[in-house]
Amino acid sequence: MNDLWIHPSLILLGGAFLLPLIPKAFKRSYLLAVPLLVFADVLQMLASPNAVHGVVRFLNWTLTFGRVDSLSLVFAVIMSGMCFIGTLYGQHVEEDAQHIASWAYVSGSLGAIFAGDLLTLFLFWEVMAFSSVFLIWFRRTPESIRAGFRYLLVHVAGGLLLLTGIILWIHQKGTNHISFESFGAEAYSAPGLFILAGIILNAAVPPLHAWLPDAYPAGTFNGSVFLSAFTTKTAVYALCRGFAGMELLVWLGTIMALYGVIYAIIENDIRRLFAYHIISQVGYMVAGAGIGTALAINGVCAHAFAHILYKGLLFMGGGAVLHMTGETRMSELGGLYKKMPWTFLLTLIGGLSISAFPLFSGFVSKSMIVSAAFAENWTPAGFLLTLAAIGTFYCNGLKVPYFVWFGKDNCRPEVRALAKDPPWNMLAAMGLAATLCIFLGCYTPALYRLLPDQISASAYHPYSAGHISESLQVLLFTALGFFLLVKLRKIQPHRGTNVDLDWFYRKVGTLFLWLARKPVQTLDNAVGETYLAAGLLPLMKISRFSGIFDNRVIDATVDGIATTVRNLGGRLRGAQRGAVQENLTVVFAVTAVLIFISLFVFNGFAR
Amino acid sequence: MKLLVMIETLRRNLKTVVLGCYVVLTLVVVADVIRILFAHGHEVPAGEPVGAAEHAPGLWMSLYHIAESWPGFWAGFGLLGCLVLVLVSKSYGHAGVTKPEDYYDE
Repeated sequence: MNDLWIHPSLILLGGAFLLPLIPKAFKRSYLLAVPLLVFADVLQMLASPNAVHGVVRFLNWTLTFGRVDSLSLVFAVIMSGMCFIGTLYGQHVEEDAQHIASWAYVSGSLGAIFAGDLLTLFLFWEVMAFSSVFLIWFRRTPESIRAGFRYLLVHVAGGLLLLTGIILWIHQKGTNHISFESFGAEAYSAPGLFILAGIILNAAVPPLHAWLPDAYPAGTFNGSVFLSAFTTKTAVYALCRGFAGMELLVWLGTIMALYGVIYAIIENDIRRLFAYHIISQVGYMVAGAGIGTALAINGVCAHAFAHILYKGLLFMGGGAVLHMTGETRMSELGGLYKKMPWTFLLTLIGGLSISAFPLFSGFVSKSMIVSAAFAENWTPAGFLLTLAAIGTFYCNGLKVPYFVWFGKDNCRPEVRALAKDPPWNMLAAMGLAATLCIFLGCYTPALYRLLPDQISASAYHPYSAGHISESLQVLLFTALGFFLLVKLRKIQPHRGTNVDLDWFYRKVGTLFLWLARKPVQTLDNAVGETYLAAGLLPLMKISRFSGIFDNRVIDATVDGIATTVRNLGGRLRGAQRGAVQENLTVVFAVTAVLIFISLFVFNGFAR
Repeated sequence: MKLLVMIETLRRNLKTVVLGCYVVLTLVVVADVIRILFAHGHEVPAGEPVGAAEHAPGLWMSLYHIAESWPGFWAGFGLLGCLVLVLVSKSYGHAGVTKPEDYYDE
């Protein structure tokens, strides 16, 4: 083990662990210092790529915590960078637990990215799920508490799928074959498919996607910025690593890209609209992973890199509107450009980047995947992905900017009174992300030099006359279509909930609860009446001994039940207040740090 | 604030801005015509398929060749694609997917 190598997740978890002890005067600097340290730690790995660190013998397993190569590095660079931007954005939040949760979440992602074996991957996969849920719960609205529980249940199920696959895999191959490499032809075997199911659940591939638009808009204003970046992109990394070239993924990805767009077009809440566009954009990446050529995998990495920045920027814009006004529905907004001009401009830059406008980051990354599709004769996928790009520009570049910042002013008076540009740190984080979006779009080597296949990356030139002409035509004529529809008053945003596949566990779940409650209540009433008629009245006539029995035993039981119910009620109240969540964050974070440290210490002694 | 002044100026001169947009749209298509006439016979279009044809039935391949050789194809694709996507999404929403806001409240 190289002694100089420090796992970035360890820095983050350690930093999170110490955060409550930091004096208030230093807290804001500390919040920036830790992510910067993590970012620097990842950057120095670029000096010596293709190395394996942190190999630990644990029981019968050889666990690898630090597989550093060109594929893991490109994801690690952008994730650690986004951790800094996200923390800067929420820097003024005073509650330590929120920062602890987001750092633990990022450490889960980075851990999964650097994991060299399936068990380590699973460990960090679960760290991600259990820490990210707090970013939803901390919003502390009844809706977000419920959405958080649904999110957690779905991810626990996804984790179990992954674990099932891993156990079957080890059962087949033996304990020495747990390294996480490409599954190749085994991708279609039972263990391969279970692992794939666990991964594509996190990538939000339909029909396993409904958790994402359900949970992400329910998160805190800054928590959703983190959520938008890490879970799905870690899954994309895992697809590139394990399932590159699996044809099924091309179709799933293409369907996903269009599915997200169609739901986004009819969505009213801007943060949910952005969430559907995560599904759509990750669709490009899933399709790219399925194509699997050097150009396609480069495209996936580049697009994930660009996507984390512009999607973070969009969620920061949506979060700023939420944070300042408390409202995110387009039907209740409009005309805000006078009040929040900078938020408008920066969010527009995010919208143009996701739409792959020339000179913005999406242009140099998305086109790689589409080119790879056409070059490998995935012609239908190529056309459908271009069609999805139309919907992307329509929503992010046109509809949201128009109906939030221009259009008819539908704001309630209190919303209008509250609306103004957010605090400096939020604007600074958005400005940083926006600058990077433009920088990546204008200076392509900055991104292309990080990509896994350098031969293919240096041969690819996005700024060809044909590509610029094609993109400008598609995008500008989409804009023409949009303003035509505005003129015809066909696309005014309306209030409404769009039913997605989460209907099955939300409505059917309610039905199940009703079924469970109804017989139980009937039984309870029946018991109560029997007790009155056949139990209580005779008892009153019987001897003192029975009276004592009644006092001692039955009362105690009833009291006991009452106390239990009261305690349970108190706990549920705690859950509503968020006290339980706070305690749990700390417990999870501390446990993760302890496991981590003890593994390394254990390893030190074992030698 | 400078940014606000800029936006206000653009809004006051909306007619000019709209006219400018139409000019840009025309120029983009004209540029495409010139590009294709100029490139004709000189270069292979970017992204010419090299792999085996198993994923693409003939219809898609002819569409691909039309896209590469007809000037302004992508402009039509953008405009029609936008209208069709919105139409499809809206009808999907109206087909029962969009429910009242309190649909999930008990």
